[in-house]
Amino acid sequence: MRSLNLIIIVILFSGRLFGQSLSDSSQGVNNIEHHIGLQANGTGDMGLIYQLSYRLFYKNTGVNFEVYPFFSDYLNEYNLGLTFMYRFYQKEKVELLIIQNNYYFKSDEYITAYFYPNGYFNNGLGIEVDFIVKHDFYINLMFGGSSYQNAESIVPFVGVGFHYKL
Amino acid sequence: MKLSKFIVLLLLVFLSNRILGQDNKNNEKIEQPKHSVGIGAGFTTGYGISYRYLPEKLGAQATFLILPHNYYSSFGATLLYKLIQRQSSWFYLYQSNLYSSYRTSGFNCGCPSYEWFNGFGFGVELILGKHFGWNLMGGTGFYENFDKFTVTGETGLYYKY
Repeated sequence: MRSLNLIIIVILFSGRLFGQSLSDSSQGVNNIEHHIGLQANGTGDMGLIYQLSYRLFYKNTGVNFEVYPFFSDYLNEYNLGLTFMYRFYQKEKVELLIIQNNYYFKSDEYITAYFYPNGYFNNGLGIEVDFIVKHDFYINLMFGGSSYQNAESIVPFVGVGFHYKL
Repeated sequence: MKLSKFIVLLLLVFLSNRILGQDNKNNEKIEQPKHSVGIGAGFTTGYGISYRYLPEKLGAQATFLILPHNYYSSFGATLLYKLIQRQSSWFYLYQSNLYSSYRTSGFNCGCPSYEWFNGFGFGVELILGKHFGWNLMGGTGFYENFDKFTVTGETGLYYKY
């Protein structure tokens, strides 16, 4: 509980700072961007996982936090994602980024009173194409290669999503 | 459920701080029609014909669908809170509640049954031309009478007047 409080305080302050810097920079050049959205990612035989997504960019470098929760009586699972991004091409309607994604997927399944825990890392490298539909609305396509289930195999990954620039 | 509470809390903190920090920047004075009617589809906001009333920042949405031959009906009520208004789009938070009733297809009985769905998240309306708006919403929600908790997505196309 103590660590939870600490995390919340850190986020609270960082949020204030980010927001402040953005409003401060309204008279000048704004280097910080916040994006919020939804995306679906698929790696290996996992199928598509729908995730809430938050992105923070400083100039052309960004970091993307993703989360997918699923909790029920018979299955508890979640996917946590941390993706590093670098924007290397930028035009009015399209952007290209190199992305390096890191996912931790955990699944605890209850089948006839037995408990099947399962958790592993997927780490990928790829390209993202962002289509700027409005000046603040992005449609994202992602593809590349990924190590799968604690690097047991290398598989392709794909993703699609949308983000809104706050 | 500890983790889900934590995630919801994180989202709330992220959004609220983002909003507090840059409130002034996005308060563009743009007149928007108060009423919208259209079609909506979402796991927690509902399917079918939808009406929205948004006089200022706080508004509401009602969505319903009745299929008498399939014994299915759903009624959704959603609260909307506008955070960012821009020329070509606006951003908001929502809290959705959906009641759906149907008949089960059991062996011996088409028993009446019902389910509640509740959600919370963010939404974006992209303004298309003078009168239309296309909405995309995402968040988390409780499904089937709080049996499941997971990500949700919703969409809607509205005529604004």
